[in-house]
Amino acid sequence: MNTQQISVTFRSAGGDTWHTDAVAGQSAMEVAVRHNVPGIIGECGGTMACATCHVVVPEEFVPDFDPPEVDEADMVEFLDGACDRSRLACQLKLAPDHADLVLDLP
Amino acid sequence: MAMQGDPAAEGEQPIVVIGLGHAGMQVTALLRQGGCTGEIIAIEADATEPYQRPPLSKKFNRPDHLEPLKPADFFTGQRIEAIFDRRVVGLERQSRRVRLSDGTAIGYRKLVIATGARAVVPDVAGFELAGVQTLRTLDDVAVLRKAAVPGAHLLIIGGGYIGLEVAATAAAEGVEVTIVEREAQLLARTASPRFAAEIERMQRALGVRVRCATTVTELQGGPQVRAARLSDGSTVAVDAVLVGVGVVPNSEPAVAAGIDCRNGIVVDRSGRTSDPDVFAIGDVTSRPLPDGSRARLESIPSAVEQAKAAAAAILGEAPAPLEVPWFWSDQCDHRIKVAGLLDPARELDVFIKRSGEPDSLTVLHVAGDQLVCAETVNSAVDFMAARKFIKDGRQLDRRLLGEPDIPLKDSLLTKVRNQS
Repeated sequence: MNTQQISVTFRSAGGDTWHTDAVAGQSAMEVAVRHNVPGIIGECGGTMACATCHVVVPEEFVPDFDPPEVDEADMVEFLDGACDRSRLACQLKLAPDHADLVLDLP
Repeated sequence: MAMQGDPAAEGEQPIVVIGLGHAGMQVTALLRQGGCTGEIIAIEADATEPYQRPPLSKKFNRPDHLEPLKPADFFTGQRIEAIFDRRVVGLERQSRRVRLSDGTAIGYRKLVIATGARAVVPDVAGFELAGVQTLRTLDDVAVLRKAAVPGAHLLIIGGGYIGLEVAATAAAEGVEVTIVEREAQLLARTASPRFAAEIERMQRALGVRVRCATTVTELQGGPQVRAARLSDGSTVAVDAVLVGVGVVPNSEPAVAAGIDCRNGIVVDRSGRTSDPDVFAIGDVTSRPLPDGSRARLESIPSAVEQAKAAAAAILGEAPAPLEVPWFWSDQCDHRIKVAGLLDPARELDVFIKRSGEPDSLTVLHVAGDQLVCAETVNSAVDFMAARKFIKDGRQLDRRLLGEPDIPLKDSLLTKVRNQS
C-alpha cells in the first residue's frame, strides 16, 4: 500500500481554504469527510448514488484525472453550480503524482 | 462533561445528540462545520462505532459490508465526546438533562434526538424460532450471512426495499428466494403499480419467486425454522426467514417526556419538536413535506436534510427550503432512484421514458405541465433532471413527455416567442 502523503486543498467560493493530508488510493470525498470540509457530505459512502460531494477541478488539474464515466457526468449535469469541470469527489481517486492538489467547492 | 446542578456552567452546557446513525453523526459534523465551538456530546446505544447502513441489505454477503460512517479519528479530530454502549433512559426537560442507562445524567443546552427506528416483528406463531431475522444492525447481518448460503431456501416476508435488496443479492449468490407480500404489488407503500411491476419483473429475472396478496400464517420448526404456512393454504420449506415489514420509531423517551409524538416525534422544518430546546431528526421523526403534508421518511437523504436544518437552527441560521424527497435502492445491477413522493389519493398522468441504458426505465408522474414524481431504474440522468425540475417547478411539454426515447431533460416546454 502506498502511504505517500498528498496535500489536498479545498477552496470555498467565499475564499476559505482547508488544507488536508491524504494518501494515494483515497478518494477526494473520503479526504474531505475525514477533515469535515463543509459542503462535502458523501452520504451514500461513495457509491455515486447521492451526488453530495460536488467539487470543481481547477483548469490546471483537469489533466491529472481520467474523464468522468457517463454515469458520473449524468449525475453532475443538474447539480447547482455545475460546470464542465464539475466532478463527484468520490470518483476522484488520489494518486502519488497529485502532489499539491487543489479542489474548489461550488 | 457538564454534570447536573452546576449553575456556574449554565451557559456552557453542551449540545447533546442521542444516536449516532446517519442523522446523529451528520448533525455533529455539521455543527462543527458551522462554527460551533462548544462542547458536543453524542450518546450511542450500540457498542460499535457508527457504520453505513445501506450495505447491510445491499451487500451483506461481501466482506466490505462493514463501512465506517466516519474515519476512526473523526471524534477526536472534531472534539466530539462520543459515549458508546449507553442508552438514554430518561429525558428530564425541566432540568434539561438526559439520564443514561448507567445512572449518570448529562445536562444539555440543546438536545438532538436521532434514535432512529426499529424493525416490526409480526405477532404470528413461530416468529421466535431460530433463523428468523429482521435487518437493522450489523449483528443482524451476521445471522443472515450464515443462513443465506447457495442452495438454501430464504423466505422474505415483506416486499419493501430492504426485502428486495436482500432478495436480489441472495438470488445472485444461488440462494432460493421467495418473497411473500401482503399487498397486491411489491413496494405497495411507496411505488406506483407500473414501477412495482417492473421491479417484480426484474426480481423474477434474477430467479426470485414473488407471491403478492399472500401472508405467512405460521412459521414451523424448532428450534430452527423449517417451514412456513401461507394464507393460500400452501406450505414452503425454509432455512431462514427475513422479516422486512416496516419499522416503528424509537420515540419512547420523547413520549414519556411529554413531547408531541404522533407516528414519530413531530418536528417542524428545522427539526424542532414541541420543546424549542429539543430537536429530532431522521427515521424517528414525523416531518413536514414540501406539499404541506407530513410523513415519516425512512431515508438517508431525509436524515441528512434534517441534520442540516437542525444544525442551522441551533447555530441561529435561517432555515433552507425543504428539499424534494428522494431515495435510492440497489438491487444487483439495477440502480433505483426516486425523486418526489406519490400520494395514492391523487390522480396523476403517467409517462414512460426508456432513454437511458438498455435496461433502464423511468416512470414520470405528471400533473398538467408539472412533474410530481419520477421513479427511475438505471437512468441517473432522468433522476437528476427530475429532482431539479420538481424543485424548480419547470414546465414540461406533454408531447415530448409522450416520446419514450426523448430523455426527460429534453422534454421541457420551449417558450414560443412572438417577437422576432
